[in-house]
Amino acid sequence: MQLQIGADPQASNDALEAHLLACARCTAFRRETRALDGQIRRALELPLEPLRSASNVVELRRPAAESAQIATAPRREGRPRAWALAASVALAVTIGLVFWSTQSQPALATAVVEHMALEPDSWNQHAPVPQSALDLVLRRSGVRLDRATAGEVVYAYSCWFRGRYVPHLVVQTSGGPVTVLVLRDEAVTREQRFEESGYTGLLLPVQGGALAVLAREQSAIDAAALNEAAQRVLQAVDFDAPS
Amino acid sequence: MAGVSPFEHTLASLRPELLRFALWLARDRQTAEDVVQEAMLRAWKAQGELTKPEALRPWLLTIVRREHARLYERKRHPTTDIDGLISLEDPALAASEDQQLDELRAAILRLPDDYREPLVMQVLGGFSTQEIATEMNLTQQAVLTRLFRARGKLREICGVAAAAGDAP
Repeated sequence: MQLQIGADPQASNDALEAHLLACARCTAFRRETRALDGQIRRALELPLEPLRSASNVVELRRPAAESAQIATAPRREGRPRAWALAASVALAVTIGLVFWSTQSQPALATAVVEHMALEPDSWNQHAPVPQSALDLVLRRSGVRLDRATAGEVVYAYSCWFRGRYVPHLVVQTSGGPVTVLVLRDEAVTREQRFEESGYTGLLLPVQGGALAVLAREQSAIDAAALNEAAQRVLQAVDFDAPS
Repeated sequence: MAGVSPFEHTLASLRPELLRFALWLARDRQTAEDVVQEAMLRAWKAQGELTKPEALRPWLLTIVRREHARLYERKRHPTTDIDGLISLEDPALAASEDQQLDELRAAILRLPDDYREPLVMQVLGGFSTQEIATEMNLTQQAVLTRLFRARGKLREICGVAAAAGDAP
């Protein structure tokens, strides 16, 4: 009976409850185990900081040899798997391109604005993102960024957006923070300005994808400043990096 | 909603939970990020298979668990700095006055994989012992034994007296 209680302290059934009525030792054991489980649950519900402040540090502390091992681990299982993975990625990209190219640009702008609501704290960052963390975020999406040109990046996170991971960056400008979503493989045919739900933004076509650049309407960033920030990021982004 | 589907919204909202689950399985943030990324891509592609919306969370957790097993089960990577991982995941934890909680986290991370995985699935994932058995391809009795022993090890850390008598 103690095995059942110790393995699954929240479980309850007629036989167990009947036993507990007559067994003080098991009753005490369940009470203690349930208390322990509360502590285990608290321990497991580890708060997770965004990538910029946590995993980059962990990665920096990992010996280089181990980093390389992890980075290459999935590829060392053999050529067929590599081909399967490549085919899978190619299929996903193709499906994504076909599907999303049929969507209107306003839909993309709306999706970008809706994504902002998921990460409100991104606007409140001030400390520069460590280069290793930024590299990690960009590498996931096969993007390079010339940081000196783009400006001070104070937030960098790989965000799930329309079926893929995209770099979500916040660049600090003299007028305040500007959010940049680097949208590899999104089809934008022309520059588009939008104002929606308290945000003003630009969608810019780039070879290999698009950029979404946004500022909050109540910020000191006017259309000219937003455009200037967008142009800087546009010059800084390189989609050619292998993903 | 013109831009983002409800499925995507739900995926995004569950991502921290999936990442936390993956982190306890993998014991490495970068590995966990990779596992969740791949799992979300698989979920995205297979969303048509999900017929009951209420089953989304366990479905996603199962995908994460399988993805972790598929990619890394045979390549357990030692985490070089478990204490660092604990404290660095949340700066507040580093200065936590709850030393017992910190010690418990460290103890969970140090549990053998065979014990930690079913415990995380049960407590964090909400899986039943039968579901864990099915997922891990074990008998339910084996799962019960592993869970009992996992708690036994953690019980010592927390200073709770071990169960006497019929412990397996």
